Amino acid sequence: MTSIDAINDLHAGVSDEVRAELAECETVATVPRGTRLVEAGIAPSHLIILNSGSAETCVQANGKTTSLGIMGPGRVFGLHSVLSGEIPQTTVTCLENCKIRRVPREAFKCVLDRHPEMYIAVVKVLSADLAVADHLLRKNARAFKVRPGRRSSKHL
Amino acid sequence: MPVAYNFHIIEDCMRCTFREHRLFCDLPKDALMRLQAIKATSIYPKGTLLCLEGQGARGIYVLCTGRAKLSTTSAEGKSIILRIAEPGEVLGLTAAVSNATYEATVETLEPTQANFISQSDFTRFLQEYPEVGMKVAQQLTHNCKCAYSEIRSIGLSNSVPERIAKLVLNWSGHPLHLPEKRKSSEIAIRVTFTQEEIAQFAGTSRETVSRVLSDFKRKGWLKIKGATWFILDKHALERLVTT
Repeated sequence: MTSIDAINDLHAGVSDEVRAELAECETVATVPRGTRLVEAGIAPSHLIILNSGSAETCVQANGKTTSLGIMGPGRVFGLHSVLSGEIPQTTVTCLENCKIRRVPREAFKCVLDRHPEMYIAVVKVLSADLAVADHLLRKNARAFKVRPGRRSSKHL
Repeated sequence: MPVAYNFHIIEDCMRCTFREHRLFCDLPKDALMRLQAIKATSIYPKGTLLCLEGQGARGIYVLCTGRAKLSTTSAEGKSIILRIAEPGEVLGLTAAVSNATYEATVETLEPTQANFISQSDFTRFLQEYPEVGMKVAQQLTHNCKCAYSEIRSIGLSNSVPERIAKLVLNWSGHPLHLPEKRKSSEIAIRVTFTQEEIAQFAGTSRETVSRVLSDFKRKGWLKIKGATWFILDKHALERLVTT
């Protein structure tokens, strides 16, 4: 399994007890195509878990958009912002009608405080996100056309 | 007594003076003692490959001192620098946690001390000490933020002069404090990269880097004296950068 395929699934990595506690604070909803699950520049109030459907993650700068990829069921969104308190740099948009689970930010942090063993699952989710970003970084970097030239290691 | 390489080895994490300032290393005492037991400290000369892109993850490296470049290989087989890792950073995290291959090649830029922790030891360490999990989560969050920022920069930068101006502006965040009096608007920085390495950063050729820097010098934006660069007109560089 390559890192790009690593499963980003919070629930799979936690105990039944933690899953039950998370379920108590979750709300399930169906959202239409085009819904922004996470919006760059806006602090999310919930952690979002995609139950079904697909969503696209993008970064934007100066009106241009770069897609980080299309995510399917099991993906978790908003985790970085919930943990760090920083505003997200990415926007996640539903490509079709999606079923999602929402966990309020503060409720999630309370469960995490009570069950710090969850950090293992959290780390795996974050790793998977970083693997996607690194993969795109390498792909973009490789797209540069590097003109051959004389090699020189002279300092300026 | 002089030490080899003028290099002071930090053998004991408990006595490390940098610990409190490092994201990963600032751990509770019991976790630190465990870290001390599972790490293997080594000194690596410049040019050592700590990780090779595509290699199966064997473990992680904690950079104690020195810097390392993370690079990937272009379609033409040229090396492209993704970013520079600074002391305190944990390398190989994603691969070790996901049991995957290393995402980039990591090469030391100077004599470096790094602590290696095997994948199995690191996984157990994460499981036994939740505080470590929190630190790792913070590191990954920080890495993600840098990666997204870089994606925006690489994918959306329009020209080589813009990319090089952006590099210079990033480096200006760590200015040199020189004893001699200079104009307050001048910013001195230390740049030890070769033109070839700067080309790898910017995704271009060494000749283009040389041409762009000559252009910057001619316009009075930059002065270069060996490894010391003087940014004479920061605003001009900022105007060039659109993203």
